[in-house]
Amino acid sequence: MINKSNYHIYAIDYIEGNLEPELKKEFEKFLANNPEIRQEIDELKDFTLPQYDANLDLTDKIKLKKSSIEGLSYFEQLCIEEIENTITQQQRKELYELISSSAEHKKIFEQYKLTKLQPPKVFFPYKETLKKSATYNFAIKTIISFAAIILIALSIINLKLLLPSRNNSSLPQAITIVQPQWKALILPENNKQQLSSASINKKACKHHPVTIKKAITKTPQSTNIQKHNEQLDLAFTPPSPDIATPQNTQININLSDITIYTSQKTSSTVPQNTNKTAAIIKNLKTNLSRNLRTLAYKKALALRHHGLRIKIKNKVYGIYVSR
Amino acid sequence: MISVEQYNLAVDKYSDNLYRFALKLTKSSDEAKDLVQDAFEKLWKNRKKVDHNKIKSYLFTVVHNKFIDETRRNSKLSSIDNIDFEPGYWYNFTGIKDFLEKAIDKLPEIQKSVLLLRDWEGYSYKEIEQITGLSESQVKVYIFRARQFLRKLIGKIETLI
Repeated sequence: MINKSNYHIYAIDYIEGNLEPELKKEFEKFLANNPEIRQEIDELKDFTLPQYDANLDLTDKIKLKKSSIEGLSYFEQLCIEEIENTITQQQRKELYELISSSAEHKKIFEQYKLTKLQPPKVFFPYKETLKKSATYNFAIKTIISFAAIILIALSIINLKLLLPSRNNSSLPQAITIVQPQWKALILPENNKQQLSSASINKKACKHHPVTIKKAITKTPQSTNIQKHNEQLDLAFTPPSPDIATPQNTQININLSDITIYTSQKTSSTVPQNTNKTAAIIKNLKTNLSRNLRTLAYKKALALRHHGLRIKIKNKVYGIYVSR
Repeated sequence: MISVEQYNLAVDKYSDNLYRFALKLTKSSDEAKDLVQDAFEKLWKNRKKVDHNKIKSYLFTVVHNKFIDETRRNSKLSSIDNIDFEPGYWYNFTGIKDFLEKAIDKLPEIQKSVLLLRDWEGYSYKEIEQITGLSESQVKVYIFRARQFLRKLIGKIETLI
């Protein structure tokens, strides 16, 4: 028997058409006697459940996901994965789902796309300096080694030529650079006699007298020098009449006794007797014995060049023979 | 083992990119030049040990390491909140590229280096891992954080404009 206390048991089956015919007749009779309940049942008949919205649910589901990188949202991760081209197909679907669902998402994605940096054109200006020669591997070290040896050897030779050292008995010494005038001719003790006995043209020496300043006593060292060096015959012939040196004076002299000086004072004009000096050096070269004259000539030239190069205005003015 | 020819070819091929990379890191042409020269000198010195297929990554490794070593002590994390958004400074850009050029300099050095290797040189995460000595996941995180930083900067400047 259907009544007000149990009608709701049959109500859903009635609405959905699942009641047995007898029960259906009885339920309709009950509704006819109770119009307020009929109204309630009619309202229930009109009620329909909303359709399932798959798109909305997917978006919500994506929004629930978490990023694997701390500090980033899942959506941000998807944006960067897309830019980095490391995104999966599923992730790409989710990304574009989110982008299409929201203008804000779209804007953020556009901003992320701008973070892809474009390289500017830059040129390294020192490229050629970095390159290596093809022969470097095989030869450069050897060349450097040889060059170093040669340089050291040249330096030693140069030092011996340039620095007068009276302690060195093996080579002729003492070419230096001097004052602009003939100063003195000083000979070793053993040459003094020869000079004094030589025929000296005193007239020629009037303006530039050659003087014997000091007689040096022979020392064991100078004996050594004589042993090792040849005793040189120096025909000291002046290259021009202006140079007042004894004409045809025969002087026996060690090369170690020769000194060439240059003036330390600066001058803007080249002294006239520079050429004369060169001529005297030439004369020395001609008259010295073969082995030693080469050294003497080189020494004189080296010094001359050295003086001219290092102190531009210093010129070789004369030769000063000294002990 | 690298021959002289391979070395000189590497100078032609990679010195521009290496200089560009160093220039962006150091912001000084002199320092960048020194870094490039040091890298090539080191390459030449170690030419017997370096695989000729890995010359480029070797050069970038040297520049990256040297730069990071030198700046590590002074390195500090950048924060979007610490950036001065004085309009006079940020509005004078001719375009987004110009803006990003400046914005990259606001990144922490390691993030900047990794991002430049990625975008300018096109290195994979694995290659960047070898160059920088970071793990692949660290490389990824640095790149992601760098992009996030730049994106926020872009967003902020767009809002201001």
